Amino acid sequence: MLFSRRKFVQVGVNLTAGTALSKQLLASSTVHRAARHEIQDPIIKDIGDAALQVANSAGAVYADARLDHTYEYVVGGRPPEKESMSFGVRVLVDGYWGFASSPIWSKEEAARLARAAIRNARANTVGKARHAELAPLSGVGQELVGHWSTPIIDDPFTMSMEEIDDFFQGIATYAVNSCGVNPNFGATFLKQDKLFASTLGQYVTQQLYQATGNFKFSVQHKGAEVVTALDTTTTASAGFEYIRDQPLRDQIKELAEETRADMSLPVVPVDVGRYETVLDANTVTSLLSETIGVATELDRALGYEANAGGTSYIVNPLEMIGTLRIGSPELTVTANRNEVRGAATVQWDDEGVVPREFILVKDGLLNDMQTDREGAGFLEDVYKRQKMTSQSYGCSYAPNSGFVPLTHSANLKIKPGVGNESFESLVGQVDKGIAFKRSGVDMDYQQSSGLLFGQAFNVKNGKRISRIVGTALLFRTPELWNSITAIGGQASSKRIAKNTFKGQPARDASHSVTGVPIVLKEATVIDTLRKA
Amino acid sequence: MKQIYPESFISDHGMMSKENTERILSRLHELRERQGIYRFSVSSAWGSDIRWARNRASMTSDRRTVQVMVFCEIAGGGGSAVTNQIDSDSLKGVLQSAERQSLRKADQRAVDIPMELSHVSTIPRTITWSDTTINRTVEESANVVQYATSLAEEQDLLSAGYIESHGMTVGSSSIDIYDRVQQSYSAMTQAQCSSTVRHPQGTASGWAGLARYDFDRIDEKALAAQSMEKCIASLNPVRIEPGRYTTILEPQAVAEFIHPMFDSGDSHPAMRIGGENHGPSNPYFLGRDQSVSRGISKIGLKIVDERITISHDPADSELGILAAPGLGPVTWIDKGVLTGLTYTRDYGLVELNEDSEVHRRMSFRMEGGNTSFDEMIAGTQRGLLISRFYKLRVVDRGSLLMTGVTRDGLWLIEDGKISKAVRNFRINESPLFALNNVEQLGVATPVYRPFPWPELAPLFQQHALSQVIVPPIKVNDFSFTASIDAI
Repeated sequence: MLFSRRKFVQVGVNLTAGTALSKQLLASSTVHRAARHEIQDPIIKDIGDAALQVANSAGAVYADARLDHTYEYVVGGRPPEKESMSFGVRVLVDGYWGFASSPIWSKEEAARLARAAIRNARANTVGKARHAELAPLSGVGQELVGHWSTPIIDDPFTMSMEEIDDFFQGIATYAVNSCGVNPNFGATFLKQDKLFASTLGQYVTQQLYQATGNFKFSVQHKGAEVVTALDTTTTASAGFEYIRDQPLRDQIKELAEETRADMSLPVVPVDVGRYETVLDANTVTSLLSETIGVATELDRALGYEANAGGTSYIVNPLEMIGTLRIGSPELTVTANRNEVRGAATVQWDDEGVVPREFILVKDGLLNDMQTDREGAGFLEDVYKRQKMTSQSYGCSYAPNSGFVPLTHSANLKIKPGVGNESFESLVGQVDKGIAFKRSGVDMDYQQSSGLLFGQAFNVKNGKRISRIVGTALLFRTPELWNSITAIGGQASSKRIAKNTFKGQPARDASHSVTGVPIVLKEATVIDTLRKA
Repeated sequence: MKQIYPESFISDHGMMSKENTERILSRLHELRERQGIYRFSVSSAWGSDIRWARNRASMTSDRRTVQVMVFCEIAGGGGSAVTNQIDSDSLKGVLQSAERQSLRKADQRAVDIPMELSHVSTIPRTITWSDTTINRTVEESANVVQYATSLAEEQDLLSAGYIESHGMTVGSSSIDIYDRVQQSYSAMTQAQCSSTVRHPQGTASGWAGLARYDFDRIDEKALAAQSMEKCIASLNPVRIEPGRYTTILEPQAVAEFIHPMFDSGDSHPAMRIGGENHGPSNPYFLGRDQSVSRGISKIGLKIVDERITISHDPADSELGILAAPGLGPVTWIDKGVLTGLTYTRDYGLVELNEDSEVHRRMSFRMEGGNTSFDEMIAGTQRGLLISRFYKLRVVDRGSLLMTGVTRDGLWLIEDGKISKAVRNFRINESPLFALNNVEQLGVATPVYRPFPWPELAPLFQQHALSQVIVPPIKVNDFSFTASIDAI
C-alpha cells in the first residue's frame, strides 16, 4: 500500500464508495486458491516416493524429495497474490550432488526429475573422487515421520482480504491524522505447505506461516525529512495476529515522536576519530547477523560460497572451534531454529532434521558452527574431540523446492548483561562519545571488516547532544566484539528479523536476531562524505 | 490424482513453445469474466548449472519454472496475480484474483496500467538466442569444472565457480476495452561462467567471469586460467597508505562503479523525468521549478568528460533487450552531455503530447577509446589497478559519492609495470567525478552481468541480457580511504 498523500485521499473516498460493491464480493474475497490436495494427502507422498525409488534404483546412495505449495499475499504488492508449486529432487552419487526441480507435481515428472538429478551428479563422477559424509539423524527428538504447523491464530489466507486491507488503511489513516507522518505501509503473508521425504525413511510435512509488517513512514520536521520504520513487525513465523495484536498506533506515535525529538537536535559534521560508542539493540541485531551469523555458516567458512555470497574470516573451522576469540568474555551467542515465532523457525529443516539450540560463541570463544548434514559430517573430528556426536543443527534451507537447500543462518540470540542497562542508561554513562541507532552494516567478502552506518549522535555528559551527518563506524569484526565494555540487560533486548543472501543463483533467507545495546570501548568514526 | 499440469506444454528443453504459450494466452482470454483492459504474460524458464568449490563440483542442477501473470483494469481499478500452474482451475483462479482486486479498487486508477494499448511492433528486436547455449550439456560443463579445478589443485590453490546455461520464453497478450488484442512471444538464452581461485589460508583471491547469451562467446578455460593467475599475482599483498592514486579500472570494475548512475537503489528512480525526486539529491536535475512544479533536468548540459558516450540500442546484437514499449534506442550521455532520461507513458501523453515512453534498462554500451590495456599500464608512473568492487553503496545521492571495497586483486603500478599486490582498500569516490577525471579509455568489452532469474521473469523484457559493454579506464585522483583485511 504505497500511500502518497494524494493517493491516500483516493483510498479514503473509495472506502465509502466501495461499500455497496464489496458486500457481494465479501463471501468470496479470501486469497484465491484453486482446489489442491492437502500436503498430507498420501497421493503427494506417492509422488515424492516415486522420485526416491527411481533415484535409489539408479544408484543414488542418498536421495531426498521436496514438494512445496507456497501462497503469498502482499498487501500493497504488485501483484498482491502469488501462488507457486515446486518439486525438487536431490541425489548423492559417489560423493557428488545432483538436483532437478520443476513446477509439475506428478509421478511421471518425479521419475524425470530423479533421472535428471542422477545424470547431473554422475556428470562429475568421471573425474576426481569426492567424499561427502552426512551426519547421522540420531539426535534426541529426531522424528523421521510427522506433521507440524506453525501455531497461528488468524490465517491470513482464510480471512477476507478487505479485512486485511482495511486494517492497514485504518493504521495509515491514524498515522496521517494523529501522528502527522507520511505512511508507506504494507505487509507480506506467506503460507508454505511442504513435504520432505528421503531414502532414509524420512517423511515429514509442514504448514509454515510467516507474517511481515512494513510500517515505514517519513517524518517532517523543520523542513527536513527522515524516513523510519517500525522494527517491531519484522518477519515472524505467525499469522495475521502477529501484526493485529501489537499496539501499532502507540508504536507509530512513539517512533514519530522519538524521530522528531532526534531531528530537533542540532546537525553537525563528524569529528573523525576514535570514541567510546554505544550501539542500540536494533544496530546490534544487524551486526550479529552480518558478522557472527554469516561468518559461522560452515559452508562459507569452507569456501563453498567463495564465488558467490562470500566467505568467512574463520578460515579454518576445524582448528578454530574452541580456540578462536570472537569477542570479549561477555559475549555469548546462541542459535536455534525452534524459538517461538522465530523467522527461521521450523519443526524440520530442508533435510528433515529437527533443529536444536546450540552455542555459537561461548564467553567470547568460537564454540561451534552453523551446519547442515554434510557440514556436521565434516566437523566429525571436532565433535569427537569434544565427546559429542556429530549432528546437523538443522540449518538447511531453501526458499522453495525449486532451489537447492544451503546452510542458512539460524535465529540468533546474544546473551543479555546481568544488570538492567538500557540504551539510554548506557548512553548516560558516556562522558564523550558517539551513539548509533537503527544502523545497518556492510561487510567485506570475508566478514572481517565492515562499515556501520545509520543514525549517529554525539554524546556528551551522558546525553545525545547532536546528530552527525555523513558518518559511519569503520570496524574490524573481532576487534569490535572484543571491545565490548557493557551489555544491556534482558529488558533492553529486541528481536528483529534480518535477511542474508548467498548462493548461485542467489537467494535470501530471513532469521530472527535478538540483540541488546552494547558499549564499545573505542571505535573509529569516519567521514563518509570526504574523500582521501 | 487429477492431472494438475499439462506436461506436454513443456518441451524437452523445459520451455514453452510459441504455440503452447499462445494456447494458454487464449485460454486466459476465454476465461475473462469482465469488460476491461487485460494484460497477460506467460513465461517459462529452464536452467542447468554447476557450482564448484574446494576443487570439486558441489552441486549440479537442472531447474524449470513457469509463471503466469495477469494484470487487469476494470472500471478504473487495477488488479494482478501470479501462479506457476497452467491447468484451467489455476488460470481461472489467477484471473478471478486479479478481477476481484480490480473491482474492489474500482475508481482508483492504477498508475502504470495503460488505458490504451501501445504499439510494440515498431520496436526492433535483437538476437538473444543461441542454440549452443540451449544445447549445452551438463557433461560439457562438468568437463570445464575438471579443467578449472585441476589447474588450481596443481598449484595448491582452491577453485570455486559457477557455470550456467539457461533459456527463457515470454509470451504476452493484451486486450483493451474495444477488444483489440496485441500479442508477442520472445525467447532468450543466457550463458555464464565465473571462477574464483583462493589461497587455502584465505590470503589471496583471483576472479574472472563473463555472462553472454551465447556459450560460443565465452572462453571458460581462459576464465579459469585468468582467475588463477590473478590469485597468484595477488599473493603476499603489501599495505600501502590510503590516498588519491592514478587508477586503472578493469572493465568489470568500471561496470560495477558506474552502475549507480543508472540505478542508485532508491525507490524514486533518479533518472525519471516527472518523478518526485528532483531536489538536490538527484544528480540529473538542477532542482525544481516551483512555478510549474516540475523538475529542471540537466539534459543538454555536460556532466562528464566529452569522451564518454553511454547508450543502449536494442538492435545492438551484443546488448539485447526484447521488444516492448519504451525500450527503443536511447543515448543517455552523448560526448559527455546528458541527452536521455526516462519517463512514463503518462508523462509522454500529458507533458509531451505524444504516445511515447522511455524505460529504464540495465544494459548499456559505454564507448571506449583506442588505448590498449598494456599501454595504460606502461604509461603509468605510479598508480593502482582495480579488478573488482564489493558492496558499493551510494552515500550521497546528489553527487553519487559511493563507498565500498576492492576485492580479488589490487595491484600497485610503478614505472609502467605492475610491481606488487597491495592490500584491498575501502574507496570513497563518485562515478560522476571519476568520469570527469578520465585520462585514457581502453577498448570496450562485455563483462559479467548475469540476468538474475527466475525472480525477474515478469520484467525480463526490460532486463533481457542485462549486458554491459564498457572499456577499462584510467582516471586521476581516485580516492582510497582505508586499508582492509579481506582478499
